[in-house]
Amino acid sequence: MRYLLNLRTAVSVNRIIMGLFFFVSGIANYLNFNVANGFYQTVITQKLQIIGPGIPPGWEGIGPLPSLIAIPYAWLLPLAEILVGALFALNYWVRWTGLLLILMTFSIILAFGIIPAGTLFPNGAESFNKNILFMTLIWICIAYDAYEQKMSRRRTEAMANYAVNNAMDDM
Amino acid sequence: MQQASQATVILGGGFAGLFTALHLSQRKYTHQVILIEQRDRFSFKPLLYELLSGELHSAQVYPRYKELLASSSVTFVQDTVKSIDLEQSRVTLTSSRIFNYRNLVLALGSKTTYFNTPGAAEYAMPFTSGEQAIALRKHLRHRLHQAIQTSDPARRRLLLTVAIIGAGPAGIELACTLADLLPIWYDELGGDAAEIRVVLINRSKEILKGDVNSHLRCTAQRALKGRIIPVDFLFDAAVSKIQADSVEYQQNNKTQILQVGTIAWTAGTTANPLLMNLPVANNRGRLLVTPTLQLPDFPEVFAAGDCAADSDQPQPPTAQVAYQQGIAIAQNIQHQREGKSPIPVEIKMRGTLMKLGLNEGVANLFNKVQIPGQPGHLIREATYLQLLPNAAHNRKITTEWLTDELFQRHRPASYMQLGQTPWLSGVATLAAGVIFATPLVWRAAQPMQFQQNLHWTGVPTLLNQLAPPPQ
Ligand SMILES: Cc1cc2nc3c(=O)[nH]c(=O)nc-3n(C[C@H](O)[C@H](O)[C@H](O)COP(=O)(O)OP(=O)(O)OC[C@H]3O[C@@H](n4cnc5c(N)ncnc54)[C@H](O)[C@@H]3O)c2cc1C
Repeated sequence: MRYLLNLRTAVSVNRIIMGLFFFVSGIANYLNFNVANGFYQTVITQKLQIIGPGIPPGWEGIGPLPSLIAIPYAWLLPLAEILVGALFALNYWVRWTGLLLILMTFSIILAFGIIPAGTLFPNGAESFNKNILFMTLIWICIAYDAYEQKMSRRRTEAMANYAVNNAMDDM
Repeated sequence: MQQASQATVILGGGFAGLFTALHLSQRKYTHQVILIEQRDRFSFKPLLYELLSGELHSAQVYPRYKELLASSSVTFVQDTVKSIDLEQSRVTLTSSRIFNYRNLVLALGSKTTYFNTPGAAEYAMPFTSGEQAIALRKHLRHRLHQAIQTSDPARRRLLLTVAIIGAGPAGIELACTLADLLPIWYDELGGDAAEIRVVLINRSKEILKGDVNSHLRCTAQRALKGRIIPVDFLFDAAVSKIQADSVEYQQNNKTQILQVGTIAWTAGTTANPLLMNLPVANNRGRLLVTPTLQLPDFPEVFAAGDCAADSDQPQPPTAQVAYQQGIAIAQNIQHQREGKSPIPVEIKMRGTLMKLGLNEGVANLFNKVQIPGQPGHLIREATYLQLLPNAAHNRKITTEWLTDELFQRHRPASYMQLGQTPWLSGVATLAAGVIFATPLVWRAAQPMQFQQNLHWTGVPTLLNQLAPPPQ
């Protein structure tokens, strides 16, 4: 119970899962790079949807991206997902890697829209882009990382430690 | 006691003296070498902050001379030099032992000076040896424990305030270390780290005035303000009196008093008084030497380190200079004994290094490139650990330090507490990621070639199982 209610544990688990998710999607994007409707084709041909397909009429989106942007983006995004995902999961430079993940996620939301398939209300089809939740979860990890420094880790055993340390001191 | 007059006697076991002794021994020098030093341990001064914080331990940066010299032919004498008679080639120690020499090396370093400030010698803590670093650590820990137990806010404020007098490199490095370390220590005790105050007091308006590091001023100033608890500056303040728990200073023609629980003194050094009385020329107490590091009137006597100066090529009083001079003296003494002429010493300055907090530093390579932050810290520690005297000792410590950096053992504070990332592991992860991604990129770019070239490894088949390639 102590572990379950521990904020640090909760944030760490959340961070590791988020990082792992990106790491695995990076691998998957390379594995399915060239298949029909695979990653590359999607990036090269997909329109930016902003709100979502179909709704409202006239907002179907713009694009596709010019190949000068789309090609490097297609090649580098999976690599970035692998590297940044691993660093984020392992708690390295969380503020910066987190920020990059948010930006990457945002670019994906731009591509697939806020409401990708169905309506805003759950109706069997995907109703709300889960990437938006990812962004807020990553934000939590970043904010916690900043907060961690200031947090008071009140250790009851500190006094006992002091006595032991003092006795074991070098001189 | 009369020693053989063929002996080479070295006074002072600091960087200059110890390196002379070790290098004479390494050169298979056949005459007796006697190292006279008042302390039983060698203080690796540039890394005393790490000893204070616990980042490195005594065996690493405050080793016993006995251990350092164990595999050498040097005779170690722990005693204090009382007088030096250059005319008679004789040295007298406080224990009344007398040593006659054929060659003498003066490497007595410098001494802390308090500029006759009342109370400074009694109440301010100097920071120039391992012993003093450990004493300061104990004092600070004690103050934090007193603070956590008191309920009087004014008293707690006093106990938690540290004044560091002197904004030279040592004062700045100490202030940066304490401003990271004390909040963590106090926090661990359950205190409010925000109550800690570290005040840097300096006579002039500028930090690092007239120092070799003066061009690092901006970086240092930024680092002082960027610690867990930003360092407070009290500049243009002349300390006029020190008491057990206060520092009195003059600022803008007004006398002011700062209540403090700890006073560290890094404000000044002066020449060793023993050398002032010698019948040779000196420059503010630093003996004037020839480019071969000999005294002009006594060619059998060499001087180096903080206590010597070559007026043609003045060098800053740093460890970097002292150890190179020590090595050169060993060479010149041997040349002299072999009837060859001594060689002028050439000091190579590799740039400067400063500690700017736990796990943060700046390396100023060849005075051209500044590398700040964690990379600067790693370069600084690696450079200094490389300098640890005695190769066997050195290798052991460097390995220990490397494994500590990698596995983060012996840390006084975790990276988490400092809000930092272990740089080495971060870069290692990045490298591992790139290696991992390479076959995937290859497969995406040139599926056929990937299939053919790596078929023997079984990797293409595995990946095809996971995601069939396009037909
Ligand atoms: C806190 C601190 C940090 C520093 N950081 C750096 C740094 O980052 N980089 C750098 O290059 N330099 C640094 N320095 C300077 C550097 O340590 C000195 O320049 C260097 O130690 C000088 O070496 P030395 O051999 O001349 O003298 P010392 O190292 O001072 O050695 C003199 C020795 O003589 C002994 N001695 C003195 N009087 C007697 C006596 N009467 N009888 C017997 N023995 C005696 C002393 O005990 C001492 O061991 C630092 C110094 C300090 C204090």
